[in-house]
Amino acid sequence: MLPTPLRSAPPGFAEASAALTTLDETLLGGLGRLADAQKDALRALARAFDGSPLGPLVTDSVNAACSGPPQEAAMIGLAAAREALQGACADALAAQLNAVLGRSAQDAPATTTVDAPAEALGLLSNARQWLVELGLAGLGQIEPGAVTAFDASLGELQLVSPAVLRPATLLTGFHQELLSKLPLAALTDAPRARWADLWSRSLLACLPKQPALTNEAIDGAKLSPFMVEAQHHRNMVSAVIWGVLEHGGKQRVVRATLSGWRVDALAGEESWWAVLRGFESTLREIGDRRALTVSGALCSSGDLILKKTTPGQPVDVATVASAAMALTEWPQVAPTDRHPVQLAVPVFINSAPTRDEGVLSVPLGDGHVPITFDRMSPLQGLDAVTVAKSDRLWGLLRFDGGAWSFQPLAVQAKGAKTPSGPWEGIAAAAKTKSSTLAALTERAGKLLRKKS
Amino acid sequence: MSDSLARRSVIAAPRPSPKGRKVKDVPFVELRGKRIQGIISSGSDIERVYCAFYEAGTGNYYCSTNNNRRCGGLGGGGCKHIAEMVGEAVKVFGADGLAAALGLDASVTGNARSLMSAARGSETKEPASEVFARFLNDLRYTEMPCSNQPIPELSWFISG
Repeated sequence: MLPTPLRSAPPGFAEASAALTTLDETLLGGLGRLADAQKDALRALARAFDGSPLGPLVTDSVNAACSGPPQEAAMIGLAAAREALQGACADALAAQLNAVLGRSAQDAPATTTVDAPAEALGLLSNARQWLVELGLAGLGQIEPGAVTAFDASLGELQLVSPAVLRPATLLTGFHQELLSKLPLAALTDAPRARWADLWSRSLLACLPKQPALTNEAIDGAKLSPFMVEAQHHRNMVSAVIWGVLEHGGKQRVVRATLSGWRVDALAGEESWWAVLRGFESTLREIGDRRALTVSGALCSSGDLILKKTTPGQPVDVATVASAAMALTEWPQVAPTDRHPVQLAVPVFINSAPTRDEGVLSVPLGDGHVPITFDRMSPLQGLDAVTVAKSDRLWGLLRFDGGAWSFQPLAVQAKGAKTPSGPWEGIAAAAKTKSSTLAALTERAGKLLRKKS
Repeated sequence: MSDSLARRSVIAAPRPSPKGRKVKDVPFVELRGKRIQGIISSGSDIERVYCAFYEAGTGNYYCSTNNNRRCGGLGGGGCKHIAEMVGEAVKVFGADGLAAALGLDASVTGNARSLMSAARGSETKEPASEVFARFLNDLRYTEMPCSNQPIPELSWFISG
């Protein structure tokens, strides 16, 4: 059984999920030709936003969608409505989790607004136009040609400025996924909630003004990493590093992200070279489970921007993780990123997993949370057998598809001196230069400059 | 929770890592539409690559150098470059993955010979530029800058 606070969905969750389903169905079939029943459902959705700050925008957008093919502004309004619903779900779920963990809510991270660089504005507009066309056609009936039409513009967006890395990363993953799945045999083959998410987030990520987290410079702070999550799509790899930061006489849990673009042929442990390429010494030291002296910036969300690192002493990741559990300041989701998929709450379980109602689970609070392998990256260095035979686990509490789960990031087998996780893969990759990358760089040298 | 909520999952299934890829021989292979297309290094000339495709459904195929010179080895069953390309595609996507993407049965997607005898198409000349541009686009990823910024959007991908 789940811990008591997680046993039932939070108030309003079912209603918000129903509203999301309405939007997803509409997006699946296309906003260009709404049936009367869909128009009625959208109008009901608009009424649910009455009195909220988004109310007028959602009403205008729904009216536009119901009276003819909607333009970009109306689609942005519908995407904002969708994200607001996901945000509300995420808040309610986070509160449940805080109750389990006995943590009090922290203040929302402070943000400012920044303008996208002038040279990116045209490309962001192209991206929005592409998304508008997908929205009109319907996410369940996209023609492959409508996807490839965005190739050139996407290529430029990836290169134009580091300031648009987030939309470029998201669009690259979405575009690649559409290409590999299309044409669909049937409309219902579309992963509707997922594509509706990717579509809405993409549209909002491509707006010319974007929220940015405030941050403070830090210099000479001590970072003790205790676990690493591999996140990636076909063309981007991230090491998301969780650690304890000692800074200004205080300790808090932080999250640092190091990422690099991945050429498709980089696979398995060698994929770490996408990141090692830019952060060789830092990532190697993390693979060696060392503390680091760091300089950079600490964002209001608890995200740490690593600019310069020097290696420190080896750390015992169990001791650090255990100490981290008692700290009160944790990374938080930025207000405009609130979404259940962003809930990633680190926990350290200093005991073996158990079978709870037949499902491999970890103990938490007065209950158990099932272990999920749905997010298990091949770079994580774990498999189901290793996890089952462990007697301590590092991981993240996650929520997806209406259910809570524990995503293992590292485990320690009974009697083992060291834990298993992504560290070995990182350390192994860092020992020798990537032969794949060398072969492709050679090909790039021979062919890229000649042709482009 | 209920089935309708479970259907609201936003996470894609993890993709296993390909094993034993021969990147020097086939530096690029992808699925695009109902096609397997890729780039195959020339065995004799380091400056030259071949661009090839095989299209499910029609069974059509082609192989030429990046300068549009037809591959001399092309015949009714394709050529060794197409065979190599399909072999690497099987490693990357798996016979099952290929079958799903191409709308074929997995019993035929294990190698080029069975694939190409499943649908008898014909040699269909196409400019190499499209596949070559896709390859050059992919190669750019080896040179693009890395980042130390948070990218929350990758939470949707996790293990793709």
